[in-house]
Amino acid sequence: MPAVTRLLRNEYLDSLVLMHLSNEVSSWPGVRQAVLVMGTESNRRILEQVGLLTGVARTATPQDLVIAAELEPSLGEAEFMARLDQRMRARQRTGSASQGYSDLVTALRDHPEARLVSISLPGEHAAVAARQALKLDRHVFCFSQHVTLDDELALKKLAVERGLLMMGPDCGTAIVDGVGLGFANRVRSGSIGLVSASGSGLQEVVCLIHRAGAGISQAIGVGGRDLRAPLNGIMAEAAVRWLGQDSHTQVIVLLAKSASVQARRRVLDAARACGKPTVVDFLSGEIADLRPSGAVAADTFEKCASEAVRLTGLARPPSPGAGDSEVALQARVAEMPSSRRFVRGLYAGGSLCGEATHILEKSGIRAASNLEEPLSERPAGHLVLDLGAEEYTQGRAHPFIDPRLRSLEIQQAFADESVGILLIDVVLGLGCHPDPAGAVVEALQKASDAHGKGPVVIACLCGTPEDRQGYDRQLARLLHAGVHVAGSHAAAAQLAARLTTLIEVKHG
Amino acid sequence: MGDQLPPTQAARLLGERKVIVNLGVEVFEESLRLQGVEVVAVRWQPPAPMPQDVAQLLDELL
Repeated sequence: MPAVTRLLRNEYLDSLVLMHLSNEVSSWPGVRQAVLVMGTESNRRILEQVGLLTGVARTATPQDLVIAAELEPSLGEAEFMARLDQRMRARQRTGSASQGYSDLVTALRDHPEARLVSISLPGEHAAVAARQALKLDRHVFCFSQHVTLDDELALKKLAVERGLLMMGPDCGTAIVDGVGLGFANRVRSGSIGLVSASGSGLQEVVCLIHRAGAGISQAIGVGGRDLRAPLNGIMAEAAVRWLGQDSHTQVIVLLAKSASVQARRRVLDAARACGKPTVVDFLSGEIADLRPSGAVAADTFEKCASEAVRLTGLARPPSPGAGDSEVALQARVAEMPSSRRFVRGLYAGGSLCGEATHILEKSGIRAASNLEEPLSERPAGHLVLDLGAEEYTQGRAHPFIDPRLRSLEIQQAFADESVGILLIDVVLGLGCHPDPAGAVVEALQKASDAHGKGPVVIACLCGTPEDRQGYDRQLARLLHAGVHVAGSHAAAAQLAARLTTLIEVKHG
Repeated sequence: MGDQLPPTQAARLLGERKVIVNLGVEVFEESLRLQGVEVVAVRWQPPAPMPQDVAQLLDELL
């Protein structure tokens, strides 16, 4: 049956709402496939690829919502449209869809008590909104990606001039005054303050701190590019100085995937000037030049968290892993077919993915990855993938929210008889999928039904018992499915490295 | 930045009432409400295309 289309002029819904609605409408009886998208050029191309670009859909503009579907003969167009109208009306009634301001400036002028604006618009519009907010003296948390470097630098300069924080763009998470922004975990208040250019790294460190019994004063995300040229730590420096003057913050933690020489000097000088003990993890950087700054160097997120906790006066041993013992895992590895000899990392968190490649490399295991640039083809051998990278998230939600892509990758890893160790992250928190462990377990079940026992599966579970998904409930699900859950991400990657080395030794 | 803040004061970003303006994804709005934050929602619509000079003029007028 040909495609049917409903065009709603000047009706905007965000990509997550559209993803949920697309899934829901696709599951209706009589619907072969349904796609709800804004009428951007790239979305029109997607509609064309799946055979749903009708003449009406071709006229859509980025301001218009396109609902396109292919129906079974059993479902008439009129009946489908009536049901669709009913669903959209229900959304209007039950959701907050119809309430709210139509423009940011009016909202800010009416609410002088609102000190912060959280922005998660399509990237090309995020910079405009952030500039408006800063000009009206509000702090900004900007989740959006695809803001140009020039815009980012201009926004951060404006923020510094006005004594404001510009968290992001591309800031996945932050915790300010106890409130989680973006993908944030529920953690107790305490005396450790973070400044981070790494979203999943920040989540891992605050969760480990919480699970060790300490707490967080503030966790300021600055966006993934802040410590690289040409930004060179402009906002990280401002955030460190700000934490330096916050009486609740006794220990400062600095996290970045990579940092330019200028950025390192700048933020370390700021940390030294504030006189508070500081722990630093610049994932890919040398640690030698940290010594003059007096900062404690950490080479993993786990070490970062444990050093910060130690500096607050608490001493807790690292959490042990759960599931099969390492000896039992070694025995499983020994029994595996000799073809299963490579590690496959399937990550939702980019910084966790980065940490995995570093830890593997330290053990002499060089894994290909898409961290620096997209892979043109899947190489044979060890492979660690960041499934939250741009090439995987265009037209779909981040894997913290939408686990389907990783589920497919898990099945592919089982089908690929060269994969011996499967390494994954399960990330909990506000805004994340309500049951990420459940999605992993379901994928593992399908994969083992189709392909047999498959690789050894090692996971890190990034979350706290207070997260809405519940650390303990998620842990139980993974353990029940035979997954080894390490006490931290570093421990997971180190275990994967040891088992991979064992396989290499076994096969010469 | 921190120069505005006396050294002994607890830094506060959100003010007493914890009010945040949310512009974009509705999921984040719900997350904020779950944490007891008062949310001012802005129902954003993609702007109609306009000539660059008009857009710049509007931006400067703000």
